[in-house]
Amino acid sequence: MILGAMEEPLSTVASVSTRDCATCGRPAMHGDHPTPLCSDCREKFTRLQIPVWIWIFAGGIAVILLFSLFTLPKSISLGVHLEKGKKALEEKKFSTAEKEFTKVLEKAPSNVAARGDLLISAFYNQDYELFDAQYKKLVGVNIEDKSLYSEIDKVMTKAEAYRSSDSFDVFKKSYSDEALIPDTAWDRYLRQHTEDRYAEQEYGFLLYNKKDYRRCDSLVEEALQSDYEYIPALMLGVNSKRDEGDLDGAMAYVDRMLAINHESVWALSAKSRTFLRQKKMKPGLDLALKLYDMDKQSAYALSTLILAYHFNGRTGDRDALIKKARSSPMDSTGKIYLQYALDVIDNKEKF
Amino acid sequence: MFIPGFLISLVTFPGVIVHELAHQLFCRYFKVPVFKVVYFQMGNPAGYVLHEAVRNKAQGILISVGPFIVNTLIGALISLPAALPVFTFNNAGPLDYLLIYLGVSIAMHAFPSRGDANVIWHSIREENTPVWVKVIGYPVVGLIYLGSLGSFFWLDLLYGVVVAVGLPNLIIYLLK
Repeated sequence: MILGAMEEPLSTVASVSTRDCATCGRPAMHGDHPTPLCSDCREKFTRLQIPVWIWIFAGGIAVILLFSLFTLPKSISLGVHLEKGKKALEEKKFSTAEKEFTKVLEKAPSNVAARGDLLISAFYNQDYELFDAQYKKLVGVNIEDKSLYSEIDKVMTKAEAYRSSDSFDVFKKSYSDEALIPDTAWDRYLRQHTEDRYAEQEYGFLLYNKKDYRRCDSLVEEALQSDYEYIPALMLGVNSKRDEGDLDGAMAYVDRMLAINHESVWALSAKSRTFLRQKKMKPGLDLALKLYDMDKQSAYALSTLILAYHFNGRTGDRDALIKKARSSPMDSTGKIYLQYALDVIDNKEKF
Repeated sequence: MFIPGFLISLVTFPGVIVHELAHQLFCRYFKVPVFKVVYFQMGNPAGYVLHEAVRNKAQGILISVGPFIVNTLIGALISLPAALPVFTFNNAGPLDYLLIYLGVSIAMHAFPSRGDANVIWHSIREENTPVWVKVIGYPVVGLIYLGSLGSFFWLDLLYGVVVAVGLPNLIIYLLK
């Protein structure tokens, strides 16, 4: 029989009617064999006879195969991180997505899709440093995926409202201190720049610091009318409602933040703190533990857990975490969060 | 686009060699004497294995479809780690492209030839063939002929690409 890789005619080895071996002429073996062969010839043709160059070829393939098997787990693992990132992005779990895309880009820095998705995740996680870094790396890069391009474009448009505009910079520079800007000037500026959400939330923050919660809330709502997902306004809304004692109102803003990003560490921390204020100590602690586990780098999550331990009477755990926090490097914002928790514990600050 | 078969075989010669080697290995496994093996030649067929007629029909089918198993497995394993860097991550190096070339070349020669199908066809048409062998054998012959027809429309190349690219993505989909 001929077996070939390509089209070929069918032929058979000629059957020999004699009992002699078809190749050497010696007496053939007994038995029901289609081709009469002596035992030596049958053994010879049954053995694997492979020319040296095929052995070399097979050896080469075997080496490549071994190399492939050796590198396969790394490649598969990278693919799994990418898919997990995409899935997390679809499910609005931006913290997970950020971690997964970061892992992908460590090994595949030229992957445009992962970089674009990391930019989107960083934006929704309010990680603006990471967001800017990804933006710089994507400038001038051709993004072929139209859906990704459109999503990046959407986020970039949103991001413009997260920075001070030129006109707002000019407005602020005309005063020596932002706190000294009269309300009438703020009103005039905001009337002239109705779409400047950044200015609205900045003025709202000043009013919040003055404990003018009613006007602060009004500015929060104005900003959210322009963009219902404007995160700085939602954050300000949570703080304002919580400090004026409207815990349900605060929780409503928290839920709006969590609808945008199911894994927003800030929103989950705020939810935990709101639970604690509502005297729901166990849910507050459970949530604080969960989110600290989710992001051990977040100073806000860490200070929330310190507070949750404190209000649940777990002073040992609280003090151990404070010790750990003090020995860890922390930026200025992180230090403010930690100091607030310490002041609450020392009764210097009302919770 | 029409490209002469010998040119395709020349470019993808590793697949032809592995195909013939697979027939030979299956013959060795079933202790069927092999009289001649042409691993690669510039002609039609590009390679062939001349072996003794096989009494056991099931073994005959397995010898014929052996390359489908061996070429698919080796092609997939070689190209698996390179498929993602090349097609997904954009961080492929020359070695990755070499692996993809080898993987696709080998996998696209997985399909048994019409000669292989003819061997099975004649074998299972004999009177003493068990029914279960016929039940398996006829569809196999049909599929081989379909594959052979499909090769005019680059089905063999498509199969090679699916094995090389589709499998890694399927594995990742199942693992995520």
